[in-house]
Amino acid sequence: MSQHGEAPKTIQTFPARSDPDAAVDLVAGIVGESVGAALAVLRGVTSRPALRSPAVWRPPFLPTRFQPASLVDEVVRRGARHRIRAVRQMGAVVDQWAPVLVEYIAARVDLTNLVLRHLDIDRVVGAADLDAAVSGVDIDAIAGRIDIDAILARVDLVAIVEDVMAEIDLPAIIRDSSGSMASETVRGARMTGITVDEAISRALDRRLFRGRRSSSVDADQ
Amino acid sequence: MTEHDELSVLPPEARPYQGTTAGIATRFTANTIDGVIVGAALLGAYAGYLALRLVLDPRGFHTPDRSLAFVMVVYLDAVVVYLTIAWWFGGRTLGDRVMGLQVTSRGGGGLGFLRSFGRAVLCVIFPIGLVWCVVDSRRRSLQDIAVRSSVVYNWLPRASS
Repeated sequence: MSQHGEAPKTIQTFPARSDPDAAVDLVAGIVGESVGAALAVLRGVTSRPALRSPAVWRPPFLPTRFQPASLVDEVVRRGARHRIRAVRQMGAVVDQWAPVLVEYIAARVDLTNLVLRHLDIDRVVGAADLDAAVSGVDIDAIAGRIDIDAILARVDLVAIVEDVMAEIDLPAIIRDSSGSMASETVRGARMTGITVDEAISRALDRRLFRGRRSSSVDADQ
Repeated sequence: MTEHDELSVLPPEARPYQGTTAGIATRFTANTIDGVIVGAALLGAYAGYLALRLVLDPRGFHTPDRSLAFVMVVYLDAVVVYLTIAWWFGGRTLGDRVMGLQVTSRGGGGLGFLRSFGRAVLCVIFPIGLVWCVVDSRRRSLQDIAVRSSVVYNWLPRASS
């Protein structure tokens, strides 16, 4: 594993990287080292006790407005104003550009597929209070806006009715019902006949002290 | 059509009586209707016969002078033929259909030709035999006893076999 040694490593990595990558790394290295050096200097300076003494920040021989602490306070105030103005301007820029950017990105990303892949729709629906949402909906008003005529116009009612009639054999039902119940008159005559039959049977049963007669077909056998 | 479907077309008040033996009032009414129907049919046929004769021979036309006995014999013969055919094919005369009756064998099946004919002859010769169903414990008329038949309520349009 001699090629993983110190000297060959730096030599072999350079040809393996592309120029843009190497340039980025170079810039990052410079910036990183600069920031690191600046932080080290800052840490060294701020850790000095002299910087924390009131004699440095509020020297009695200077008027208050020229003392370092006052100057720093003034700069801080101005900095705060600049920050607020900058944030406001930044917000305006974001407001202006965000829709354009989002539109630009959305046009290039398959959002539907993305949502389906990463969103647990069951959990989302489970968290929603559907009952409350539905109770707030005026279903009558929705039903009133439905054009039922247009729906019916798209349905082949004739074909459906023909299918239903073919299934239920309507002529047979009409034939049976009209045959047996030809009219209320016939029905009344038949019931009257049965009633008179029963009355005669009961009267004779009482008169002749016979046992209850059986009138079923089975009794004839 | 299943038995349940058949019962469903019956009015509820008639269902308890479906298939039970019929009493004298219903049977007498049905017989009366049959008698009137046969009489009307004979009268119609006779009127048609007279009209045909009038058309064919207007000058020599005269109403036939038939005896009452002849008319009765023709009428009773017609009744026998009518009843035989009706009971043989389905067990129902027109009067039976109106009153919701069916003539069956004791087992509930149809009557054959001979029993239908015998029953028709007995009904014509001795119609008063029907009255026996009033006192018979099983509502049988004398004709029913003789040919072993039953008359049951059947309001369904198609006769059960």
